Amino acid sequence: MNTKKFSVAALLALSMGVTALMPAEASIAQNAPRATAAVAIPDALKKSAIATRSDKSGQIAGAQIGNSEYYVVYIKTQRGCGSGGCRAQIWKREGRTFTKRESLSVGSLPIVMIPQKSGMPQIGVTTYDGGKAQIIPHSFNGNGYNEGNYAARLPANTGRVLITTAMLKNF
Amino acid sequence: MQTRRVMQISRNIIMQTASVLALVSLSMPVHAQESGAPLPDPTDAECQEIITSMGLENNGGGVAQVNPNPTAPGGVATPGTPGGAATPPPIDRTPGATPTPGATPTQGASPTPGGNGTGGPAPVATPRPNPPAGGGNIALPTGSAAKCNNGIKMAQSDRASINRALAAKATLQAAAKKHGIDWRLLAAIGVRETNFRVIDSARPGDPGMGIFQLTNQPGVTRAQAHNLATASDIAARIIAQDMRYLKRKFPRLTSAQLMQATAAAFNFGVDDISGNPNTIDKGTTRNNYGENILLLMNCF
Repeated sequence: MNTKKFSVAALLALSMGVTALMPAEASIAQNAPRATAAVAIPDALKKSAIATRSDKSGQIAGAQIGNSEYYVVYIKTQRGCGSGGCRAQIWKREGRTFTKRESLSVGSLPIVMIPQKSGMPQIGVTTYDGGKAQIIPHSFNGNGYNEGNYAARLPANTGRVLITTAMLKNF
Repeated sequence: MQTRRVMQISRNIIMQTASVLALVSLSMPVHAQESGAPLPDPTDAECQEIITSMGLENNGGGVAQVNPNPTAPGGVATPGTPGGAATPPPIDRTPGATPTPGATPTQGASPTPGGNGTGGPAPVATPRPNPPAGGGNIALPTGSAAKCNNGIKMAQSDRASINRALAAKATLQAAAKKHGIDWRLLAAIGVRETNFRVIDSARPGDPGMGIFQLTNQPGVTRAQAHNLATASDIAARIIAQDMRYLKRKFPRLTSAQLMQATAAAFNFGVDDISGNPNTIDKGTTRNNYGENILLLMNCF
């Protein structure tokens, strides 16, 4: 009985395309378009991203940027993060392998995608610089993403959520 | 006649070249000073002094009365003597390992003894012509006051924050001495992170805690992060570990670059330091964290 109730609730949640959010993140993203259900990143990408860290354990989450060959990966490790959070990484699929393009500005989750009128979306990283949450946008430059544009920071509820804390998996 | 003319022309060329060289040599030090952030490259002896043990026996420097045992900000009891706090647990800087619900920002009591704890952004620097002798400090260039002011402005801070850090100097020096780093790094990081106040960030799941915005690391409690002596000890240990690691990994970094990189590593972790001196701050908060720390160090 309880299992059936849970299953119905789970199906409802999935059908609505709701990604599990931490309470605070839910409030941050309340006005953002709903993210699709979390999809595990390819194992090859996961291994490559973990290999960039000097720690053997931590947490990782990632998402494909739209339908492009680009992925954003967020890794939390002891030596890969600091007082400002961690730096998400941009990876590009090249055949069956993945190549790291760059690291985004230091920040926290959620990481959002900000659609543009044309071309690749911007990627936004959440920061708490100055006490309140805000999004630092990174624009696409044709070959990867530029460094964070602090002069163009956006409200916290901007964009479509790509990665949340709830998506982090231990490794 | 023609030979004399050629000699005259040659003499003119030599004179003009000498003038240009003289002008260039005069302008270079001025430019170096106005360029701001990076401290001048120290001598080998100074580098050695920074990297290895940094004697803090001499606490000179003309700082006004410093409370030798500042009250622990945030009202948390201070265990033991400054720098001699209970041995902190192994350092794990992973933010968000364990969410801390209800981490209410606490406006820490200013440890400034009689200091002007209030006051808006009023970056009026008090020039310090001679750097404090303690802490293995490298010689500061002239123009430190201007750099201090620039650092305060870049940090969106104020003079009161500097005063709060100065009031905690004894505690910072004790922690710095224990781990062999420059105490001014601690002071500058505290100012940049929180205006040297005991506050927690609003970041859900992985809030920065206390003056140095330590993340909730296994074994490091909010109370420890809010305790000046303990937090200073933990922050100093992180800085010392990162500095040693970066020194080994990038031996060609100058002392100033090493300090800038170490500061950047405090902000986003040590794994993302590339070793390229021109891009040390890329990816740090506001893309200027390390440079800002170097500028703020001129305030102490």
